Amino acid sequence: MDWLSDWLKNVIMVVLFAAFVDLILPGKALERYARLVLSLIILLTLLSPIIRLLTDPPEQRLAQELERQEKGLPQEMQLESILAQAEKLKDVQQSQSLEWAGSELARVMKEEIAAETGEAVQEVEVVLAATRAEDDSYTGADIRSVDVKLSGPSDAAVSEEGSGAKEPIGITPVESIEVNLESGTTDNNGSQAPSQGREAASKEYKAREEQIVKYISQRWDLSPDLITIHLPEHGQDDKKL
Amino acid sequence: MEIIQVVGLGLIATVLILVVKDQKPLFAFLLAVATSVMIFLFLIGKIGDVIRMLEDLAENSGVQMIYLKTVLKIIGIAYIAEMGAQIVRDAGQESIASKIELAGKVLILVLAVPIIGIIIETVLKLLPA
Repeated sequence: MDWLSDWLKNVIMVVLFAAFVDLILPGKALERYARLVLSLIILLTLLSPIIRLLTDPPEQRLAQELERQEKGLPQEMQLESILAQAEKLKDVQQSQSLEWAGSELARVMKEEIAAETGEAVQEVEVVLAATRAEDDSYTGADIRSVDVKLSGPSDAAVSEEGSGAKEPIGITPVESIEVNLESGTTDNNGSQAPSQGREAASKEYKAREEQIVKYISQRWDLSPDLITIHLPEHGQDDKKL
Repeated sequence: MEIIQVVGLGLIATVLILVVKDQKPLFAFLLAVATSVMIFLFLIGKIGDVIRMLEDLAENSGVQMIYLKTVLKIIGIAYIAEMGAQIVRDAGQESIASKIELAGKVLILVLAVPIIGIIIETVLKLLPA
């Protein structure tokens, strides 16, 4: 019953204050407005047990709001919005660093493929994605796809040259790889194919693709599904491994 | 006996203003402003006593100080706005006086915004979703 007597005391005092203010208010002009605010305060006092039951005590929030009004702080200065902004900035930073890491990885892969297999590689594209733990914290990055664009016919003679010289490159978790083989349209000087006939050409390309896919998937520990190879062949349909 | 002082000051100021008004209306206005400020300053001490009494009362009865603060803010805004509006109105600038009153009304209503927010939030929580 303690809260009841407290509440009653509160209500009586607030009503007394309101009556007092009503008495000493000057003039008629502001009377209606002052009365509105006073009646709201009385209502708040009457409701305060219910408010306390449902949310935090009204007095603290009222004090916070009034302080914010007094100091003229904008709404944005509140903690949640600052935290949200920080989160946004972090995401931007992360995607930028993933992009950068992807391009570095692609550069290294391009050099390695060229050295190991002797293929003339036009472009390698690596797409990285951040992996997140259950609590949404950043744990590392996955390779989501590797696109290799070949630029010309295979040059088997060169293939073995640089094989021994490669240094392993430390790369964080790589989980899945996808390799799709498609014929590219980039360069048309791979002109051995017509002379040997379609069958032979497609076989040769398949062999080249397989070689590259095998190399990348072993070297980088990727699943072959993630690797896509675009061949510079004309007249050949897309092939998928 | 302070009331006699206030009324005496007011009467003397009125007579002086009436004398000066025909020659120099500007000085009459300044005199009126000075008189009202003087009476106001004279009363500030008394108002302080009353407010201190209210604060003691609130503290003893356990009323949250934030309510008293809001109530006192209303009184302050009302008095200052009213005084400014009346002085300006005496000088014949009715439109400026009404703007001062408008400012007072808005500032008093701004005090109600957090209260309305809390009440509405509670009512919405009370209603079944």
